[in-house]
Amino acid sequence: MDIAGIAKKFIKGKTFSLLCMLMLIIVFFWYFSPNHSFLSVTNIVIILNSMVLFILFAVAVSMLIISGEVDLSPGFIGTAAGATMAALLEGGTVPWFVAVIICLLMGIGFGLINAVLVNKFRIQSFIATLAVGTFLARGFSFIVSGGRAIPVRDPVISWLGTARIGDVVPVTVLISLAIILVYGTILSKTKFGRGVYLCGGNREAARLAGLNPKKLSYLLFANSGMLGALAGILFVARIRSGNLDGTNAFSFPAVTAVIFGGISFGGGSGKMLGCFLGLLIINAFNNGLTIMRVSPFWQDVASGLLLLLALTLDYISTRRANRASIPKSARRLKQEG
Amino acid sequence: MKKVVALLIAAAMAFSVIACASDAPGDAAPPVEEAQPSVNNGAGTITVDVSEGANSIGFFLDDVDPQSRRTYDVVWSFMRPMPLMQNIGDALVELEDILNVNIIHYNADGDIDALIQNIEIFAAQGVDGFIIVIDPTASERIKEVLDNTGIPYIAMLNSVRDENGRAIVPGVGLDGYQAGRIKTQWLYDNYRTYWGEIDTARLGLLNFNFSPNVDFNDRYLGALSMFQELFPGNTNIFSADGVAGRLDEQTGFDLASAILATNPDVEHWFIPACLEHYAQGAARAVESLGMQDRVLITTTGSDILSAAWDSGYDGAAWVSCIGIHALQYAAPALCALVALMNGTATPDTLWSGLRAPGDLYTFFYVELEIVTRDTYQDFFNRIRAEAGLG
Repeated sequence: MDIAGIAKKFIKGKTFSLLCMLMLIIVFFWYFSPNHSFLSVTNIVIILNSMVLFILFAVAVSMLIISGEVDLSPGFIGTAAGATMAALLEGGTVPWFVAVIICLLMGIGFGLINAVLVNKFRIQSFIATLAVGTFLARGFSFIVSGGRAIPVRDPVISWLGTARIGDVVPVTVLISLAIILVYGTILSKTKFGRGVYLCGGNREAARLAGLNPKKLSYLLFANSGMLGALAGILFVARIRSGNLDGTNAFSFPAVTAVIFGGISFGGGSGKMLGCFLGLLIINAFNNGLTIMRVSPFWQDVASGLLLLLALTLDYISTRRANRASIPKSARRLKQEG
Repeated sequence: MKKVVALLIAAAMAFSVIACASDAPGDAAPPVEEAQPSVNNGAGTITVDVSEGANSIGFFLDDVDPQSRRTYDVVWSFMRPMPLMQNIGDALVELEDILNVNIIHYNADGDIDALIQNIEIFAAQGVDGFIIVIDPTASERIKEVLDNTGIPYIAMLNSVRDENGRAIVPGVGLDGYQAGRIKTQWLYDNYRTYWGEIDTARLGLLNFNFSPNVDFNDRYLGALSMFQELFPGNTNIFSADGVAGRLDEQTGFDLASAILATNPDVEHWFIPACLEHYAQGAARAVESLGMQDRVLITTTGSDILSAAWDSGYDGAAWVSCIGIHALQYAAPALCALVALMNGTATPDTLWSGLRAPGDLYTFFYVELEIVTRDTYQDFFNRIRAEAGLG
């Protein structure tokens, strides 16, 4: 394809729409923010910092959504992992790295329970993961913590959550950016990634092509649980407390951001770049509203409006693409008949 | 079409932001030539307690005329949207003109990470002070972030304590334990008015709690301790912990119904509810069981009951409550914060005469007064007058 063709394809793509939207938001808030502070280094870091946990959850769920499943449990798994880590570190006898490994394994365990329910018992992933999250993982958090918040004073974990490289960039931001970069590369550049798309596009075709969708599903659910646990660990490190509400409320916004970023809920399409841009747009928009001192009640309305319009845009572009893929003669026949 | 919708999105965003912004965008930055608020973190040389002259609700003015300085931007920040937070926010806004401040509301919608992030956002925007509900589950971290900003702040509702239980942040709130004791004491002092002489051996205590919340638990413990002091040896004590349900009226109804209906040996009941919604549920349970002439209910907080009285409620059982006006929280917190921003007070000097032994800073407790249908309006009028709102 020549350069003009590539450019035309890029302009028609979802990424271009997201970039345009991001630019609009940046220009708007830069212009109207006091002292143009929206684009200050401090504020850019604040925006990236606000995305850290959402990035982990979004990566976890987007891999599954692309493969044709959905996972609503990572937020609850994160809370369970965070509470467990706080409880393990409380006495000061368990080293931090042991606690981290136990929590990651626990996340993988919850993920595998999801996978068994979906693949063995044929329960819809939406239901299975909601049940595992809201009952199993949440109940586990209560049991482990005894219904209280547990302070975390381990110096390494505290450093992980609050340290800044060069006194500017939080370590957690670097971790989250590294993770989305790695997963983005896996998804777009490896055979495994292509398998994820193929399974999401057509599971039966993937199986006939020699892939093992069931095995892939186990891997992705385990991965989602692990990333959820990692997010929970980072959350606890950031607030230095095993909190019972923890990351419970993070899953839905993460799924929303993923869809916003162009990853199709039907599976088989979407990119990590879109996911990242979706998160960036939502967080930059919320940050801008705060800077503009918009009432928090109106902020929800404004964010909802942004999301609704973006989804409408996505719907229109998908419909246009579908229409374009049907030959004119077939469309005429359909209209006549 | 796609581009048209993109333009629509941009227009909608512009509209929503402009429509919702509380200030004209260009007005938000403080004028450079005027005095900046000084930050006093206890290291200064100020020794005079300007809050010493505060009236009964904690309202005071320091030596700086509010109208002689620039308007301070103050963030009112809290974790969850609740009527109490909204009321406090409204009360702060009512004081804006008197104290020459601009109140910026922020609620984190239950996301503690967002609460912390937004402290940094507001700090980067150059706000002058915070009045903040410091969530007890992450108080250490929130305090650290606030300290790092170097901007004065006052804790609202929740006290922040170190490992030894010492208050380490100046704040305003309610003494839950005393509230519990006062409620039971009031029931004891007044039960004869409603029932005449009774057999106190057949008197019971239905004591509401919500154990995960320290403040509610304190209210529960206070009510319990006073009952045990007033009626030593009485074992008709029933705990109703709302942790099994929620912080709502239905949970109060369910718990009260079950306990009241299954203990016929108890002839008369005291119900000092830790939360208004529980009192409301208990009142409904009492009515549905036809026990209005054998139960007395009181509670902490007066929003629901005063509104009910306003609309003609004359419940025979739910007869009183600890009257609390949001100005009782807002006035002392804002006055103290203004003094910190003016540089006329430090966290150490604030309310120094009221400091509990061992505390590093003072947690100012709001006045606790039981109100009834006959006294609540006078009480609220007095609070407004003392806050300078006539």
